[in-house]
Amino acid sequence: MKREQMLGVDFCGLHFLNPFLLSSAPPTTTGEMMEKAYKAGWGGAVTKTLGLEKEEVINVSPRLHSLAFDSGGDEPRKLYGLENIELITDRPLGIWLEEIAYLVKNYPEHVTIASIMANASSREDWQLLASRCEKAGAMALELNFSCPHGMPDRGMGAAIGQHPELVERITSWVREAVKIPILVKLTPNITDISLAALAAKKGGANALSAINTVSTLIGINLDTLEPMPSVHGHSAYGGYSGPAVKPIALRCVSEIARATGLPISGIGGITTWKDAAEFILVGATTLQVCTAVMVSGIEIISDLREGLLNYMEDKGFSSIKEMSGKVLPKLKLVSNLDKSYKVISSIDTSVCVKCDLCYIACRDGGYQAITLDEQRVPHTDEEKCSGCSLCVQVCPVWDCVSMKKVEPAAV
Amino acid sequence: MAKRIPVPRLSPDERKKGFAETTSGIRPQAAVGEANRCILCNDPPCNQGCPAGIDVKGFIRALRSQNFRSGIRIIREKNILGGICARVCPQEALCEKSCSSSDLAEPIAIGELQRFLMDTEVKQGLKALPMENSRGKKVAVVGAGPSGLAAAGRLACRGYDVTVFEKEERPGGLLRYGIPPYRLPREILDAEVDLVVRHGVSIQTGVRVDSPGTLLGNGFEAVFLAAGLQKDQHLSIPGREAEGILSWRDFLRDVFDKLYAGDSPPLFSGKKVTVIGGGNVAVDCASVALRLGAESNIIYRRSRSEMPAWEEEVAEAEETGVNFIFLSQPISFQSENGRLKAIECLKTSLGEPDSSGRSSFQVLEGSEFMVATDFAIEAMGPLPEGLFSDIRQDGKGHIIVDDNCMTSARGIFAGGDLVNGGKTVVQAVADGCRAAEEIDQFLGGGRVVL
Repeated sequence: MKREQMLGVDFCGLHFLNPFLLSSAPPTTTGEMMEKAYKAGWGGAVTKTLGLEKEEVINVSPRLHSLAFDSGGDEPRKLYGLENIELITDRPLGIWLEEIAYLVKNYPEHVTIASIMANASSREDWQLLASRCEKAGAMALELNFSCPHGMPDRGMGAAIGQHPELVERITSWVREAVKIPILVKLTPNITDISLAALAAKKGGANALSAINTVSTLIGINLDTLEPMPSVHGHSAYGGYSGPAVKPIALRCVSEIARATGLPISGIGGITTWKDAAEFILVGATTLQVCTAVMVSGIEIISDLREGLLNYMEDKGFSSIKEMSGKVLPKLKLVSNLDKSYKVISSIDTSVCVKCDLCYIACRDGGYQAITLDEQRVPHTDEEKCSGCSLCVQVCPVWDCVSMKKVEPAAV
Repeated sequence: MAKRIPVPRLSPDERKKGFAETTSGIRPQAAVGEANRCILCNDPPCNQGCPAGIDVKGFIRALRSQNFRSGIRIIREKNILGGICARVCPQEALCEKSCSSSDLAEPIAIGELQRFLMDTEVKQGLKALPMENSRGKKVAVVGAGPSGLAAAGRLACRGYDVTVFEKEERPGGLLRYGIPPYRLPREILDAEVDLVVRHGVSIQTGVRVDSPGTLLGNGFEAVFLAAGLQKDQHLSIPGREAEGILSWRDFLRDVFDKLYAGDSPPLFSGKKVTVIGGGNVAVDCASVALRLGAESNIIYRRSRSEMPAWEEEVAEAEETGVNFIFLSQPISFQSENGRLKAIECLKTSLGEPDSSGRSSFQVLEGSEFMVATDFAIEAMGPLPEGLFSDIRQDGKGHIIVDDNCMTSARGIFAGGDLVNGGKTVVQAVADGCRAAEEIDQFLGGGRVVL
């Protein structure tokens, strides 16, 4: 078997050359952009969400704002999160259907998925849109029940995903209309995402996509007193994506994986192969990427693929399927974790730079278990240390502070 | 981490004491931090600046995500001598020259990042590159210097049965006999030569090839000539018969051979050694002599800014105490009882740039002065030996090749210093790789040139 084939994966009856897809977002604004991604080695792509012709879509500008770490000086900006208030596609459905047909015909090995959105109250709209996409050749549908800002006022997006009964009802409408696989894209902006996931399963979904963006207010311009992104002085809550949302996404993916057992397309801040591996380990079998591509281009696919392959080889996984969900059994309630297990702080003074961040953190955010000697070198008071690990989190040096296991004291 | 990562470097005093590598590599945290300083710009100048065509942005991206293995592969697939080049490349004039981060702060320390990845691989054990199925065809390479080794490695990966003929006892060419171990530790050189061998390349040392045409008749279907520049230039000035005048080649080889064998090198304590020349080799000779206890001088006929040697090397030599005598032209060797005791020089002055773009110079009549010395080392740029007389050459003996790296003799290709007159190690590697692809085409490979 060729090495690259290890990345191949079957996902609700479709074969993917590798698990990486462009998600339904600005990188899939046109069929041409999706074609370029296929050529660059992406396994597939989900179109920007399509709507019926009658849904007028007019975008505002600007519609993005980021949370970045700006330390000033010559430090390059580092983007941690990106908020957008962009709507679904503003390109005509007819053109999109032609582009889908073109992609499916010319790139049969790559999976072209149509993302769709219609009004929650119209069975006819959902079924018409779904069957037109199926007829154009879309290999699967992704139902967008989850966009937080587009367009809940019209009964669309997250307005659906936040109500499990609507999720089930609309999924079943689409199920009646098409034979191709249906993915339901879920919103994290809900108290219990597994309820929406179960509703989608009940409605006939073949797979779940999670998560869509997290509803946010990215920031305020303190000079002009305007919310960001400021559209002529005003703004709206938007959808947050990028590295900052990954922990939320991992939690959601693991929850719906355990609740439904459905195949999952993991989404939410995937930037490097490491993120990809984490999503697979908590139950995803395909992965969707947007923000990292918006920041660094489709060329990141080489690092995603190569890095994941290297990892799989190192860990002895021969397929994505084998790796998927491996960590799920290790997720428990805190009450059920091993209370006899105890670790305490251990400081490698040979690499310590004597910044004493661990000392400050333990003093004011911990248990006052770290003391300084005359040379300002920190030491752990093993009696006082409760093993919280705050010191490890704040230490700026790699492999300096670690937690070491202590054997339970002899009775 | 906004500032360029500082490279741990021995102090001038420590350097003078021996031949330990001047710089030591950076730690993983520093390497990943420096990689994160990269802004991953589009169509990056670093990629364009690498003669070997390494995807620098690609390996930096892999390094950022701690995907060391892919980073290593990205380097090796374009440059099998990646650890050597990380150390001996003048990065400031190549990959780092137009780095986009220069406009923000300082260029990314690309050479250090490459070295980190290559050293990481050395610790893990070097891995062979992917090999294509055997073509059942034999190719000969003449010369086991950087160009020959790179060509051999690439051809072996393409499925050819490659034999390298090397006239010296050990492979490496200029890397072994011209570059001091404090710039290129021999274990790195040996490891990468061994990596080439592990691709199935046979290196036959102590074999001189004067007539490559006969190889074509002996089962080899193509020959790559990478014999380098083996003829030294001498000053044609009076007094050369004096004892104490050495060629750079003999001087360095003697020292390096002894060091490699674990023997003590010749000592020059209390002696004056004067090197004549302005290239890297001249600076290396002076720096080596200094480490052997000598008081070291360099005589160069132009000024510091015209020196072909790299600025970094010149600065290092200055720091350790090499004395530069600029704008001076030797006119005779002075001896006493047959032993050299001084070099007579004339001062020079610079004029308009000549055809090479460097300032021309004129000697100033009546400005004679003496440089007292016990040894003189002639370190002017070497020339080809002038072999291979049935192959078209320029007036100085450099082989002339066509656009496909082929010489005037069908099936015989050439590259490296023998063709380009002596540029960088990485240029020699690039020539070797390119010639290997052309040889592959010539023998029916039909692949797109990488």
